[in-house]
Amino acid sequence: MRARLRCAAIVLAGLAQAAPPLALAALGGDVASVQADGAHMKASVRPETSVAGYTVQEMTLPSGTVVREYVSPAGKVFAVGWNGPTMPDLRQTLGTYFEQYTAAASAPHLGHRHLTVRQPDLVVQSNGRPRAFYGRAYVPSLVPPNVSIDDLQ
Amino acid sequence: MFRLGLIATLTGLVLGALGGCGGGDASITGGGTPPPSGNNVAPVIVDAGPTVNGQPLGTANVLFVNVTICTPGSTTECQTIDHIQVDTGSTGLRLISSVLSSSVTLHPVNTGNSSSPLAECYVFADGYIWGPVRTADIQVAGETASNVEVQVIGDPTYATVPADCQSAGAQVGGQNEDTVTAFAANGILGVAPFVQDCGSFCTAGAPAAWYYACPSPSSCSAASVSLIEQVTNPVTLFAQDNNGVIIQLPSVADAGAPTVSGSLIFGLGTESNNNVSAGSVAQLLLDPSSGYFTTTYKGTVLTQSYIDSGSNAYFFNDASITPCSDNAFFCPASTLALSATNSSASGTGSGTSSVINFNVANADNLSAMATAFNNLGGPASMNAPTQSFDWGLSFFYGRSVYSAVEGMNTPAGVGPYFAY
Repeated sequence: MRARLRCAAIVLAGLAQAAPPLALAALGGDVASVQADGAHMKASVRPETSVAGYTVQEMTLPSGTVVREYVSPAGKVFAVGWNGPTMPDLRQTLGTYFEQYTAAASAPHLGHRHLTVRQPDLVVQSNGRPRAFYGRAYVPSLVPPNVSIDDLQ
Repeated sequence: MFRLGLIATLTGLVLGALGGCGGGDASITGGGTPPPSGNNVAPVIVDAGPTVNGQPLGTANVLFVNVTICTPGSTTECQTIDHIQVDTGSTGLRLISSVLSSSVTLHPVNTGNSSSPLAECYVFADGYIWGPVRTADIQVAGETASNVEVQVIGDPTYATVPADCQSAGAQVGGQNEDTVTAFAANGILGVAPFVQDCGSFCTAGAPAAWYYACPSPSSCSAASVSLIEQVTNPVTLFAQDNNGVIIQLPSVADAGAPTVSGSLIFGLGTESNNNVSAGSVAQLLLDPSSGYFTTTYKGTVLTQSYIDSGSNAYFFNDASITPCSDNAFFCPASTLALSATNSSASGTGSGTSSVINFNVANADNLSAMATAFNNLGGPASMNAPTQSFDWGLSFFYGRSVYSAVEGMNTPAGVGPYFAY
């Protein structure tokens, strides 16, 4: 096609990278890192809720953005989602995957409303406009079996 | 003086083979009705975009206007910049540093709180931009505003990005490519239905990744800023015709149009050419902080929907529509005739609801020689936990789209609302 029309929703593929040592941050981290995220982002954190096959920790940032962190039965944060007026601190919430994400997002693309990074070990979908963002990131290999990423509440 | 920026190597994914697209086709101005005219009417165009290294970038479904900026207080130190994107999804004028003429001197804005120059981290879905806040006198069509806070992107003096701004993602255009190329425009004219780009959230608590006080350009710390210090929707600072805008584009054929000429009209109900009455249009009252309204598509209620000239297609989820091989757009076997219903955001009052019939064509079959398409659509990329219908520029052809600024009175009521 119309290569030049690949605006606004670009799928940026890439090679998986070896994960650097775990830092205290959410995606791919353990449950304790969720509390760290909340503290770092000055969020108010709700008690976790259990859904079939995973638990959800929801926090609200001072801006009103709601961040949800999804924890597998193995105790790993396999996905994070956000919805609200500001982007979450992605360095905090993507943790060791942040550099990988920004490297992919730095590749040339057109349009600033819908960005998808799709790599074997990281999927990030960042959408929206200033004051109204929504997105999610997940690590495919950490998603519990029988859990559909599209059905996350 | 237009200094050409560096053009990084763009993958074929982005540019493709554009070489042969010489242009020369007359732009389509629509059947019959003469375009509006007046001091409050700015011509707008959908075309192949700004010229970089001697060639048009090759954009599609991006709407452009010319904006004149002057040194505050001067009528001679001025520059008219072409191919500024008209964006109903963002607020404020943002100019790319490499495009600015040295004959214009924009003034720094010193925050009242700390008497330091202001800079801003402005965040998009795909990353952030960073640069100083400056004031300019602005003219678009016959409308002028003085001392308007704007943002300059890519100012080389402001090379150090604060850490918490970097946490918002990648720097748009900052690393591998020229900023004009990254934005496919020489700047952005954000005419969302808001007055300031941040609003009350930034007036206290020095939130991260917004405004910064910079005693020196490399030493910036997050700062609270008053409403009048923030980057502002320039329309709201016009002396008249300042309560909203109308974007009026002619229809285009199913195959697309080589270029399209339309109008950006300032004011709602302030002149003889910009009236809007509640009974004659579909009116969507917006959530006052997000600007969302509700779209119902195939029975699914999408409460985070929006009309956005800064998106280049309809973006929505429909698993029954074949995506193109790279998942950027839809590629159904043949053009689909679809419909959806728009209604006001819940809790805002009624407005009206309206059914929109629209087409989605096979994006791969659309002509590479056209730049304007009313049938370009793509997947919205995620389902959970909330859903959106993004009515991008595909929606605007053959319509007048009215955008009323928050808190401003219009003949059809108080903004924020969209109407069409």
